[in-house]
Amino acid sequence: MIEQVRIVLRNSGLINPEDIDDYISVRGYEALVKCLTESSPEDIIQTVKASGLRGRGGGGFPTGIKWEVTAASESDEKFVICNADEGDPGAFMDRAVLEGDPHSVMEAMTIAGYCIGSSKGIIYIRAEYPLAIERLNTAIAQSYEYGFLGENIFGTDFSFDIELKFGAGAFVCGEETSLIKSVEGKRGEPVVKPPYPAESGLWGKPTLVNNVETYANISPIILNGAQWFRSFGDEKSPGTKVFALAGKVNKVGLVEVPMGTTLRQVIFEVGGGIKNGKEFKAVQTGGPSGGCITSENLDTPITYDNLKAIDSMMGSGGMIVLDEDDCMVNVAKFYLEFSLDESCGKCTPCRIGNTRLWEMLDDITKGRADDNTMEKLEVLCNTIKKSALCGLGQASPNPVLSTMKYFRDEYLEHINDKKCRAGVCKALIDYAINPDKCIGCTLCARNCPVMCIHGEPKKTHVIDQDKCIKCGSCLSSCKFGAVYYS
Amino acid sequence: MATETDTREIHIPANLLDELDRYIGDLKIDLNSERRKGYLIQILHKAQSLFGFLPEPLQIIISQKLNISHAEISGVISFYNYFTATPKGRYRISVCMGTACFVKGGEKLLEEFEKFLEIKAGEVTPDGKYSIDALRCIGACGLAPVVMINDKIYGNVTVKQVGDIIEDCLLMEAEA
Amino acid sequence: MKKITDMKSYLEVKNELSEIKKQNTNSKILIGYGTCGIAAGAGEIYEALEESIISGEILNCELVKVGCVGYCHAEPTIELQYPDGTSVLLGNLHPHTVPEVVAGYLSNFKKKGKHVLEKNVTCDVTKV
Repeated sequence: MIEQVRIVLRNSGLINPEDIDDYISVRGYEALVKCLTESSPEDIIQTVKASGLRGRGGGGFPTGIKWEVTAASESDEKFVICNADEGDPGAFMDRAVLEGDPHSVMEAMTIAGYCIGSSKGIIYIRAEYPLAIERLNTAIAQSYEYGFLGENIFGTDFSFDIELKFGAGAFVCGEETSLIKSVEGKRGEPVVKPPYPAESGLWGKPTLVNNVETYANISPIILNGAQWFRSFGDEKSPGTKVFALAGKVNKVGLVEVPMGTTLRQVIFEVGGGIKNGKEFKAVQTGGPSGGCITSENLDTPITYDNLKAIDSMMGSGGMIVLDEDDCMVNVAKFYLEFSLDESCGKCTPCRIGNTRLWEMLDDITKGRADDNTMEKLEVLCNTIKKSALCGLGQASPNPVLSTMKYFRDEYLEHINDKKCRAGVCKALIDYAINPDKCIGCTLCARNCPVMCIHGEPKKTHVIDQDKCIKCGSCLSSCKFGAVYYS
Repeated sequence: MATETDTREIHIPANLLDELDRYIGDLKIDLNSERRKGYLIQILHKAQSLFGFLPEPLQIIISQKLNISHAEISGVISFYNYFTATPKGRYRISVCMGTACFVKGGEKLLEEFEKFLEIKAGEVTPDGKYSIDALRCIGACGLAPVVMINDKIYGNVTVKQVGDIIEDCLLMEAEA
Repeated sequence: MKKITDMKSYLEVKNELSEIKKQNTNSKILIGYGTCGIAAGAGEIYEALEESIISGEILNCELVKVGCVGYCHAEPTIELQYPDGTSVLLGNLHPHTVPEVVAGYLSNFKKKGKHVLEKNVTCDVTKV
C-alpha cells in the first residue's frame, strides 16, 4: 500500500489558515528568518538548484535555474509573481493550498524576492476562488504585523510587499506571458518568448513567475536541505506531486505522493479503484494540454519525462479517471471545445485550426465523417502543434492525438460502423426495449420526458424512434435491464 | 454576447457610482503613469460587483476616470469570461463544465436547466430572474457535477434535482 | 503584536506559542472548511458542534476552521486532535449525528470506527 507523503499539503487541514500563530508554531517563517539572517541569496539559490525542484505548474522547468537567471538580470526593479490562476479543468490543488496554508506560499515568495533582488510580490489569483482570496488577505495583513512583510524586514535592507491581482476567467492567463499582460490590465494575449519574463516581464522588468505548489515546496527544502528533498521521488523529478483525483474513481480528492509512484497505485490504491465496479478505460492527465493514458501504461512511474513519453504530460496535476461509459472521441471533443473557447484568437493556427479540428470531431460523433477524416485530423493536429504561438495553442491538439493513437478502433467504429460503444454520441445510438426482459412495469414510459414510450401495463413497451430525443432516462430508470442501445 | 448593446434603458444608480468613485480614489492612481492600467481589471471587478454588469455608459465613465480609451476597456471586457456587458438574472445559474463535472453529467444538467427555464446558456429569462451560464471549473471536482447559484455551490447534483434548485431560488426570493 | 527582528526573537515567539499549545489539555476539533467542505455542509457541522459545546454535550475542546485535507469523497470531514498529540480524521459526517459521533470519539480518545478515514495525519518526516 502506497503511503501519501505530505510536503506541499503539510499544514493543509491541520492549522488554522486565518491565524498566523498556528503557522509559526509549526516552524512557519523559520525558513525566511534563516534566509535573511544567515544566508546569502546565492546560497539559497544553490540549495533550490541542488534540490532539483521543478515547476509544478506543468512545464517542469527547474525552479533553481529560473531563480538564478532572474537574479542575474540587471535592473532597478524586479517582480515576484505567484501563478494562482488554476484554470486547468479538474485541478484544485492550488486552491486547497491557498485556502489551507496561505502563509507557506507567501513565505516562499518573500524568500524568492530576497534571492532575486525584488521588493514586490504579486499573487495572480482566479476571481472564482473567493475563499482563497479572503484567506490570503487575512494572511497578508497578519504577516505585516509580525514584520514578515514590509520595510526593512528583520532590520535588513530587504523590503517586500505582496499584493493580490485577480484573474477574470481566462484560461490562457495561466501562461506566464499572458498572465503578465493581464496583470498590466490588458487582454491576456501571450507574446513570443524569448525574451523570457526572467529578462523582460511585468512592465518590461525581470520577473519571476512560479506556481503555487512550487512555492509551497520552498520552506521545507530550506529547513531540511536539498538532500532531504531528493530522498523523495526520482532522480530527475525529485519530491512529491499533488494530484487532484476526480472523475469515475471511488475516493475523489487530493493526493500527494512521491514522484515515481505509478498511476495504478494512485488510482487503485489511494483512489480506491473505479466507481460502481466499472471497467477502467483511461486516465486523463495534463488537462486540455495533456492526453489519455490507457491501462497498458498504468504501471508507468509518474515523472515529467515518463508522462511525456506516453503522449501525455504532468500538467498541474489534474487526474480525471474515465470508465467504460465514457466515449473517447467525445472526451477529445470536450477538451478541444475548451481550448477553442479559451483561445485568445491572436494566432491563426489556434483560432481557425482548432475550429476545423472541432468540426471534424463533431462530424465523427454525429456519423458524418468519411474515410479521409482521420488522416486530415492528424495532419491538422501536427500543423497546429508546430505553428501556434503559445503553449495553449501548441498543446491543444494533444488530447486528440493521444486518443487517436490509443483508441483508434473507437474512432474507426464511429466513422465506419456509425457506432458509439459507450452510448454517448446520441446521433449514433438508438434506444430499444428487449421484449424478453420487459415486464411492462411502465416506469420508463412514466420517466420519458417526451412521452414516446407506449405500451399497456404488464405488456411489452415500445419506443417511438421518431419522437425519441435519446436522453437515456428510460435506460437509467429500467430496473430489469430491458432497455438497451445499439 | 458582450458586444451587443442592450436596448433597455440603462440606469446607473448615483450612490453606487459614488462608491466606485471612492474605491478608485483610495487606489491613489497616478493618471500619467503607464502603470495606471494595472488597476483596470480590479476596478472592473469592483464595478461589476456593484452594478451586476458593465454597461457601455459605465465603461465610458471608467474610461474617463482612468484616462484609458473606451475601446481598450471594451476589449478587456470582451476578452475575459468573468466580465459581462449585458445584465444577468437575479439568480445566476452556473453549471460547471470542468472535466470532472463533464464526465459526471454536467452537460445533461445544463440541458435540463435550459429546458426547465426555456432559455439557452448565456441568456436571461424575460422577467430578469434567472440566467444560465456554462462555467469553467470552480475546483469543487470532489462534488462533481456542481451547480452554482450566485455564490452558493450545490454538489453531486442530479437531473431530478434541477426543479428543487429552482424552487430554492424562489424561497430565497420570498425571504428577501 | 511583537515584531520579529532576528532568529532569537523568532524562536522566542515560536517557543512561546508551542508552550501554550503544550499546556492546552483540550482536544481540538478541526473542521475542513475549504470550498468543497463548505459546499458539502461544513457550515452546518460547525454550527451543530458549536451548539453542543455551548450546551455542554461536548466538553474540553476547541473548534477550529481549517483548510482541506483532500478527502473530498468523504466531505464534510473533521480531524480530532487529542491532548496526547495523536489524532484521527473522520469523514462522511452529518449535522444531526455529528455531536454524538464526536462525543463518542472524545470520551475515550477512540481511534477506530466507521467514520475514521486516517489516523495521525501529521507525518513526522514532513513535519519539518
